[in-house]
Amino acid sequence: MSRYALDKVLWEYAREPAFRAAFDADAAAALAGRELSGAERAALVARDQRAIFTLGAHPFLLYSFAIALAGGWSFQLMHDYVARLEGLELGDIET
Amino acid sequence: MGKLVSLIGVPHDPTLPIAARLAAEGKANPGALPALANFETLRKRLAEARPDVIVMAGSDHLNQWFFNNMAPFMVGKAARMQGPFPSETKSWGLEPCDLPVDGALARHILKSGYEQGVDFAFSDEFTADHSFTIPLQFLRPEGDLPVVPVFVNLLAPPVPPGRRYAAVGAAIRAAIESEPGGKRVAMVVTGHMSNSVGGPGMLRSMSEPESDWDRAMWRRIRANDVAAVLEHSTWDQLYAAGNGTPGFLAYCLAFGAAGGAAPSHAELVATTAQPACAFLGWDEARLDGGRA
Repeated sequence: MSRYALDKVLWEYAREPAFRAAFDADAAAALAGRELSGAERAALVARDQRAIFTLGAHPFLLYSFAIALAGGWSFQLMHDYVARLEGLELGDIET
Repeated sequence: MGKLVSLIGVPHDPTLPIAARLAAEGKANPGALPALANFETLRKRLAEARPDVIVMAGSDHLNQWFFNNMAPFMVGKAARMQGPFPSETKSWGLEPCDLPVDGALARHILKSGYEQGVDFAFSDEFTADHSFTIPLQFLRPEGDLPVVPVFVNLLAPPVPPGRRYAAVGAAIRAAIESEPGGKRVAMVVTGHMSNSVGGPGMLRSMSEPESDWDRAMWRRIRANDVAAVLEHSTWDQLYAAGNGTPGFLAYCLAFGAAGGAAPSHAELVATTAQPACAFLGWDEARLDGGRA
């Protein structure tokens, strides 16, 4: 299962400035060599938070990723984030 | 021998320190005031207990412990407990925390756990995130006591069932009571009631601060029906009530440490200002009664 690799990308993006800079410059290149499924890779490159959630990423890591993408937390960010997940149900997130 | 003289369960919502700053200027969201008042009540109860050291159990929120090596229960035994993480300070303006760790008690809890059948992990290098620093700063603003941090996995499944958290809480208490220095020990746990931070239900607490799950679990708590609390505290049951609701497992540690005693302070705060939160406290007399 590649969910671990998906979660790790979210985790590193929020915590590792060098990885974040590389991802921001060229996400596909930054993910080269990562053991991700095609759907996971595409969702990450597109920063498609709804798709990443549906693929079973840990919600807390996805939220950290969204906060980092936005450059910091704000009420607006929180509302935008929830709007992207509207209608989705919690699923399995075990790695 | 050591003694458990105070047992406290509180939230660690990072908006509460912000609310406390605003409250000082009369500008806080009124919905945050009951939580602040509960912290103040429990601060006084903790002071009255005259503890020598605080055992503090909280989560790491995947800040440093990750799926590459995830321990359900870990004792921190570095020389000092420092935190929170810079990203947390940036987001919420949290105060820094830097407290000595009671290494002797930490090692005693660790080894006593092994003897009792609780195989704690341990760490000599860690950072304490907001779930440690916020409760400690509310409950002991003097920052004058050493601590023993216990990291518990509350959000990275699979996690053990609630009854195991209770067993670990009981083992920590037994370790405290076999501590040879006669220390007066307080134990603070921090977790959640229903919580959906990072999930699609994250804003629900703003329109429905008290969920059906909160009401049902709070009834069990008020009845001190620990068996029923634990029976309803598996990952699947808690996760179904919100992706962050497994944070309730921290309270199971407290029920285990209480040994059946009913809390002397119990208040559910459910307002639109922050997710529902539980404030529980057991004073020394209650804890004595729980062992009778």
